[in-house]
Amino acid sequence: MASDNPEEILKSMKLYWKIGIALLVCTVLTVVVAWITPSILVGMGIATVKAGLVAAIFMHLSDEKPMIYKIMVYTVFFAVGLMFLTLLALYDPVVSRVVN
Amino acid sequence: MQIPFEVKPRPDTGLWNAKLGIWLFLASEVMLFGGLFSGYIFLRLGAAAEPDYFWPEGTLSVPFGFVNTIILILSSVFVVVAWLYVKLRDFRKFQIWMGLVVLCALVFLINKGFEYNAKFTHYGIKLTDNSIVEGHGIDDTIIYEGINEVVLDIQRFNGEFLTLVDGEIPEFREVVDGKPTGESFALSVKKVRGIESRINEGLKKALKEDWDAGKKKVDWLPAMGVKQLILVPSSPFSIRTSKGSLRKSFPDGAKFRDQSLLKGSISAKTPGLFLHAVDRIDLRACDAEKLEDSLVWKYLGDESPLAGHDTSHDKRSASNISAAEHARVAEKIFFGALKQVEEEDGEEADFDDLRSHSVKKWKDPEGSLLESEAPILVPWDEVRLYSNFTPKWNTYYAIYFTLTGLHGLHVLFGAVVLFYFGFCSKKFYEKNPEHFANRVEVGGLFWHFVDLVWIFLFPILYLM
Repeated sequence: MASDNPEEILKSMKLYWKIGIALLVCTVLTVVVAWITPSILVGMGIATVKAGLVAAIFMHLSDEKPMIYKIMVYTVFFAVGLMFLTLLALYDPVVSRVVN
Repeated sequence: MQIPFEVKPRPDTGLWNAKLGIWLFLASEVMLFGGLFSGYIFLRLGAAAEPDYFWPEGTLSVPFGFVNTIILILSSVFVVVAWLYVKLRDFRKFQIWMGLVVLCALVFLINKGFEYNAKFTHYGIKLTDNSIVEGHGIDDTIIYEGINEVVLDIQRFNGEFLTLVDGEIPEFREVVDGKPTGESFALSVKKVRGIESRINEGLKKALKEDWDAGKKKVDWLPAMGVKQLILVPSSPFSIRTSKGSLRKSFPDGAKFRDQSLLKGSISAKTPGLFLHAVDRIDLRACDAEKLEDSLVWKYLGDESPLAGHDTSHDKRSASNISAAEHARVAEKIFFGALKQVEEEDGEEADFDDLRSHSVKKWKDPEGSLLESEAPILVPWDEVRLYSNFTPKWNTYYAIYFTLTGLHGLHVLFGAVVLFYFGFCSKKFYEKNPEHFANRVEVGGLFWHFVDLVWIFLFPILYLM
């Protein structure tokens, strides 16, 4: 997070540009990988890395107060749980009849 | 009144108020989009489990999505740089970078507009044998002629059919059990749709008189408790409408959304649904055993009803081609496609191979890539479903429009807020620059979240 020291701020600015370039490179990589081999895992993997960079650096999550981490841990727990509900639905008798 | 902890952090949370607020809000946003992403996974896995349902892949323009991703990433960098310039107390530079963020948002939304428009003007027809044709320029005009009876639902009647009458609106007489009651009605669109009454004044008056007199002249539909009125026109008339605007259509009548039922027959001038330029054929789920039995072959080929039907009455006249020409077009598409499959797989292809591919483009003998532009006319009773590429067409477009539409609204809302900070908040900045910097940070956090959602949307919607 940027402090009020102008030198520190300029240093942060350089970091933000570097992260921006890294994100652009990752975007090109996503398209190239999808073109060569359309893999959901690789595509989502790169997207997660990009999202991680945005959250950690641009949104300052790499250097935040504990309160924000607490909020986000609960949120991520429930959001991931939401995805697993979908998988549970696949074992629902109606859907699993179709699968099997 | 001075609100505490706008600049300094609260001792218990370690955060200034707005920061805690935005993170709680972003947590709720994670759950909102998380729910929609979960819905996407559910629909996609469900589609994979259905043997005859093919999830549309590669239907969006990757370059458009790629450019929009680059734009959002750049805007994310710009917003954080703008915030740093507030920290450096350089308002002019802050404004420049914030201006660039708003510009990026506008370009993103304009791109999205082009993408949506391409979907709204692209159509698909699913035939009764589950084959699909897609293309541009649909005409679903349907003419009912010889209409000699109209059944109105008195409570719902809104006069819609009156606006579609070909020529003069006739006088109507009421009949009960096939016998005229002596009541006649001059229905008019203006009166029916007037502010004072949803139904014709004369109609209303006559009903009231009958009701007062204790006569039960009007029919009651017992199961629904709906009052109906059966009217016969002084002379049979015609209506011209789009099939999509009808509630239901039958060979011997049409039902409107206000429950009005018109009894007549479909004109030979409009025997079916017309698509001006077919650009893709999908036979993967087709029930036919042989190519020649598939309905797409039939209606693109020399049995096409297009060849014989009257095309003088509307825009279809542009494609008045002969049956022989038509058959050649169909042949070109199918055998061109077979050839393409043969080239891709390196062995002889048959109809089953063709069924495993969706045909869009094929190579001609010179090797150049061609795209079909053949017209097709599908008889009404062979159309299972037709629509432009909107949620009605399939679940992919349902989730696509929900996700990207909601995301687009976030872009719009974020851009308005950031524009306000950039160009309407100079006094606020001069009064308390640190408080202003906090506001910009909060706006920036929202903007990064918008970027973050798109980072996931791009691969799942455009690339997979």
